[in-house]
Amino acid sequence: MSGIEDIVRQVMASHDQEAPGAPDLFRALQGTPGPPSRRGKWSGLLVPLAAAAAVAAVVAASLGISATFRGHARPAGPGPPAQSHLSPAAQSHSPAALRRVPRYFAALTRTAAVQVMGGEAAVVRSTLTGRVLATVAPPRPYQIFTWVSAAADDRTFILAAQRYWPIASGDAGLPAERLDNTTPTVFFKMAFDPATRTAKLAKLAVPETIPSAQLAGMTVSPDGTRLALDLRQSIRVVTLATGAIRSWAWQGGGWIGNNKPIGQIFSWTADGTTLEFQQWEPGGPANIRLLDTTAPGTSLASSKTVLNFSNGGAFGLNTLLTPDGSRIVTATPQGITEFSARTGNPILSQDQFRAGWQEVLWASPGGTALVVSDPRGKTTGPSNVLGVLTGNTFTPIPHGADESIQIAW
Amino acid sequence: MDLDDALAELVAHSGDRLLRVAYQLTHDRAAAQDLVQEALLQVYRSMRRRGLPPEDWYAYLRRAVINEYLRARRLRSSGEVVTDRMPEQPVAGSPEDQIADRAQLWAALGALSARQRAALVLRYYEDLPDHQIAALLGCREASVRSLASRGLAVLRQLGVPAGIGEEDRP
Repeated sequence: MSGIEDIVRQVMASHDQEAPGAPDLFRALQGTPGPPSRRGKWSGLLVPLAAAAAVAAVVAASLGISATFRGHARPAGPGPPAQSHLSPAAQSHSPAALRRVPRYFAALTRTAAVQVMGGEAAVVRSTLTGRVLATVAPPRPYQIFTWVSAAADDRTFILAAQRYWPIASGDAGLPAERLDNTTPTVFFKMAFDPATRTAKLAKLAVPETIPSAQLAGMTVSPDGTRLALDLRQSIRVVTLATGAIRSWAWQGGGWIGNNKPIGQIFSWTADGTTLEFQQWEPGGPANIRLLDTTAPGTSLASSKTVLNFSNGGAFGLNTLLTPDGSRIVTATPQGITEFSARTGNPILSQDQFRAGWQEVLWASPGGTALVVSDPRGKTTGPSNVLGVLTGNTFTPIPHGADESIQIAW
Repeated sequence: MDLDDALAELVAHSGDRLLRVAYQLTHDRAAAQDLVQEALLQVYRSMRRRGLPPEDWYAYLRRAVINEYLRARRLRSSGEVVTDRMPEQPVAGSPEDQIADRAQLWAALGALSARQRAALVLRYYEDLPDHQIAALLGCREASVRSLASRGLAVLRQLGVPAGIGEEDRP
């Protein structure tokens, strides 16, 4: 056998473990209870799947024809000239872009007419179809989910919950007796099972009592083992298996977290070592900093500033460090802008609009695929559109009206 | 054992193997799952109509996977840009280079035509003899040899250095 044949065998074998495990269909089949009906177990299971596949194909085809948008690439302010990373896949206008994003995402939803953060339920939706696949409510006595974050496996999410709506000073809409800034926040792991389309909650043993008013955000590590909590003037990282906590305090002025606070407050590198966060002062500058969570120390002063904005309104709520640690991605007046995490210089701006707000919700390892909330040029209307931005091509997520910034991939 | 139970048992025992073959063909986890599910769906419908379970279920499903892969690739052919040139030509030498070379070869496999890739996967991953590959692909043995030979030639042309893999040989 020639050398090239040996090499082909070795390379194929080396990628063997990357293949997926038994797919949803298999698990669903194995979980089908009871004796088969007259139609049989498979017929009952497969026909709906086939119908779903047909619907998905129609949606995909329509997306490819009519629903892929072009953004408007612009150079990103000062610094080196912007570069495009248009790819053949992006140019094909196919929903292949959607496949570059985790398959499921979670969002908080509410029915009450309140203009506050959170929701009475969390839904799991499909990135490919936008369909709601599962809905969960917090177990009593908790009634409101306030934060959501996603691990990298596309089906594990962390939720924060409390008893009542988190109404702060100046907010309105609910009776005073339901204001809640003092009861403890509790945390749940939500595991979504695509086979059964169920999401199950398991309460996490976070040992400290955190009053709801103190929690200003949270983000779980990509492997789902550690939860970073924003307590405004400190960051705590909880190891979920043991309950162990590490704390870093901010001794300077201002706050940790974005200026609402809302959205994805932190971001992690893929290896779970580096945590990106915002540090800002009201009316003053905002700094994007990186914390090495493996290094000794208890002060956030040891973190490194990699990017500076003149004020908190000069960029999006979310500033995401790409999982490979190379870039910071956020919305700016120039559009969705990527900055070097090493130098802080802008690298690329794309998808700019004159009106409306944008937000980056998720970034692929190198930032070449982004989930964004986008106005798509709309000057009126209540909602943005969720979509995947790849190489300055926007592929909308079906039924992706953005109704909640509390959303996580 | 009825058809449902037979398929269930097959899925339990051979599902992962089918998915690995599908992954070798598609290089995409989600696409591999879609491929296997579609193949299962087709086989199930076919067997309910014909009512004749094959002697070798795994081979039967593998054929469905291959057929579905080739069919899907034909439909998608206008949407993909296949290049015959790799952007970089690294020089083999250090372990880092060899890792890069293997990644390059994996990418190069993905750039082959669907039938060439199927022939190489069936020959070098599934270890099938050419006459079985010919039966699966619906062609003559000579065509299989040609597909494999041309596929390997493309890989060589794409700059896969001869050095990689040598340290692993007995």
